[in-house]
Amino acid sequence: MAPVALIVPDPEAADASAAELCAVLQAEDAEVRWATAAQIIGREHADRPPEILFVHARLTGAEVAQLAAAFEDADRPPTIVVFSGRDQSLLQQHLGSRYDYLLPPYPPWLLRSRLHAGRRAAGELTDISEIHQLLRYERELQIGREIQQGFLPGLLPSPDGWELAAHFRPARVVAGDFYDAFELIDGRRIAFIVADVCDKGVGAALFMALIRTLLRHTAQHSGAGPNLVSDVETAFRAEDAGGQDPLRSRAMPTVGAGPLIGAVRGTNEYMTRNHLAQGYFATLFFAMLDPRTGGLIYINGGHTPPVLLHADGSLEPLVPTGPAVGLMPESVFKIEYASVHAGETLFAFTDGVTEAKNERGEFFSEARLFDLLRHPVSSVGELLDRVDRAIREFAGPAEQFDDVTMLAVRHLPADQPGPDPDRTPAAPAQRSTEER
Amino acid sequence: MARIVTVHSNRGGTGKSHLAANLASLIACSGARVGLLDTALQSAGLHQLFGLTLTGGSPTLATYLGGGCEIEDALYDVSSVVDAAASGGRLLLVPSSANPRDTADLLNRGYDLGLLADACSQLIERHDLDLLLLDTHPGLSNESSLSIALADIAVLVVRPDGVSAIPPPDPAVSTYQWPRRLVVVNMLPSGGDEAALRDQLRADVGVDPVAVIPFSNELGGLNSERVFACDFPQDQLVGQFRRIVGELMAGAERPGPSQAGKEG
Repeated sequence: MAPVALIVPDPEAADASAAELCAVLQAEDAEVRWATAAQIIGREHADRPPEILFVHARLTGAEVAQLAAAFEDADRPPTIVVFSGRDQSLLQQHLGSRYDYLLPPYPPWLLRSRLHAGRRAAGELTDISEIHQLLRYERELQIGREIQQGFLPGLLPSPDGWELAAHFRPARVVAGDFYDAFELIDGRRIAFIVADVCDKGVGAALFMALIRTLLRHTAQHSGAGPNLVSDVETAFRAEDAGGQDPLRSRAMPTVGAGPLIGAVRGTNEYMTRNHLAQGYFATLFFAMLDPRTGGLIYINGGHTPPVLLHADGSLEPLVPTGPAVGLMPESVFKIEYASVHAGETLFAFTDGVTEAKNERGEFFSEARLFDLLRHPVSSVGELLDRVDRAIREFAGPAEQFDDVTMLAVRHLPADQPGPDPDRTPAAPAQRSTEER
Repeated sequence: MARIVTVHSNRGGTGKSHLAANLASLIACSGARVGLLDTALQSAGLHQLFGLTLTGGSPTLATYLGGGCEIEDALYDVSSVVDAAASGGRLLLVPSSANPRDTADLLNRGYDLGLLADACSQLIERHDLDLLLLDTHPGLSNESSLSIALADIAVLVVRPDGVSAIPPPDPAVSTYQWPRRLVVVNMLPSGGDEAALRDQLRADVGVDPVAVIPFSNELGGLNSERVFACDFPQDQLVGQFRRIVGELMAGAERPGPSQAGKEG
């Protein structure tokens, strides 16, 4: 793009010097514009500020300062050059100013130098400003990342006879994936969640914070509300409940079902009522475990099916029981049952695991994951390390495309003592289990 | 499989708890293993009929629901109070509450309703119960709705002046279905016309009560500290109770007397 030179001619007399200057500038491929001081101060000049402003020396120092001020808000304020015509004495009043000056004849090489110096200076300023801006963004992102870490559990619950571990490796500084695990109902149930907010980066991270908070808060504050009895009942598949409920042939409230359905349905309603236009939603797996019996109730909202690793080596996918959360108002979410018997493990993950790519663009795939899961499990930490190591080896130098999140819950065999009687530290956010 | 019976009334003062205590006692005395769960958190008192004295710290259903104990800890064996042991029967009582302040707090805060259903399952399974009888708070509450929903049979207690309080066939208690209903009219005044009352019930709400129990000075005189059927086993009232018991236990897998002497 041609540099723009704006000329403010002698306000009192027609001066051939300005036309002469114009001709030389045009010969140097500059785009020359004209304006009076009044027009510039009145902001009547063109939108694009000039790279260089030539002001006739007849204007006073104060007037030139006013012109400079008119461009102060521009991204790249122009270089200001005061020029004189034949009456070079006019320049005297400007000698003490900070502006460059020019007197005839106007040698093309000098003007070329002025023009390019102006551009270069403007460019340097822009570079510095951009770097400054980038640094600011980076600092903000870093703060965002630290805050997001606070949205992941610092400690995972560790009920007797159970082992929990999580692994979280975001593709970018901030992520849309998250996991959570916490005690509910006076420790009688362990709630855990693995979720994937659509999209990546800051937008996903903001919605991750919102959705995680809505889910956890609602689950922890769901009492026996007036509508909850019917809510819970409708959340069960009546035809499936018969074999599970020792009391009745029809669906009955199960411990944890109220918080579970309340949290998922409440979050969906909140998201679709307030944020539908922004187009963000989350797939999630939200389960309530009875550590006493291994009984599990869960909602899978459009999420990659977690896998129950049975003791005989078979894998049972826990398929979706409803759509993603935040996608459609009044979505129907059903609660399903499963049991994690002693020696069995539940492995939940996000699609960043199976859809990790190598340099040839191939997916890590469910098949590779399931092969890894079929090997005996000595501890959940070891299992997660095994999977993450395999993903990294598979991906090689290829850029990580999506967040990788995994959570495993293992019912220890009867003859194996529990882990630490204290609670298990969670995988430090944004770090792999290997780095622990 | 244990039968679950819920005793309920839409209004207070119908003699519901007395009836529940008497039915539970009679069934236990016939050799059955009976659980009696007082779900009336708002108006604890069933335990008093069994002479049970609770302190503010005694574990109860409310303690269990609030996370303070397991349901087993809130279980009181009152078999000897009702002389059930001789027949091999057993009566296990879970009082609703011993501490009004904590219970009010629990009700305000809310609790997981599944815990109540879970308590029923645990009691039935761990104690191999033949019958679990649930006493309820009058009117609608979450506990009452769930107790009715859990039941195989709901015994609805009304007074003669409260016939209209019998819920219509499709009640708005909750989205749950009603179990089989048995209507008991209690406290018929002396000189009351039972036949006319039965006709009126049939005509108005299409209900034929399983029993119409006359008002009893003796029952009132017990001052809520004894189980009437234990003290006056030959009374006419107890005859009415036995009719209800007959309905409740009809077709039960393990009716009490034939199993007398079973471990317990």
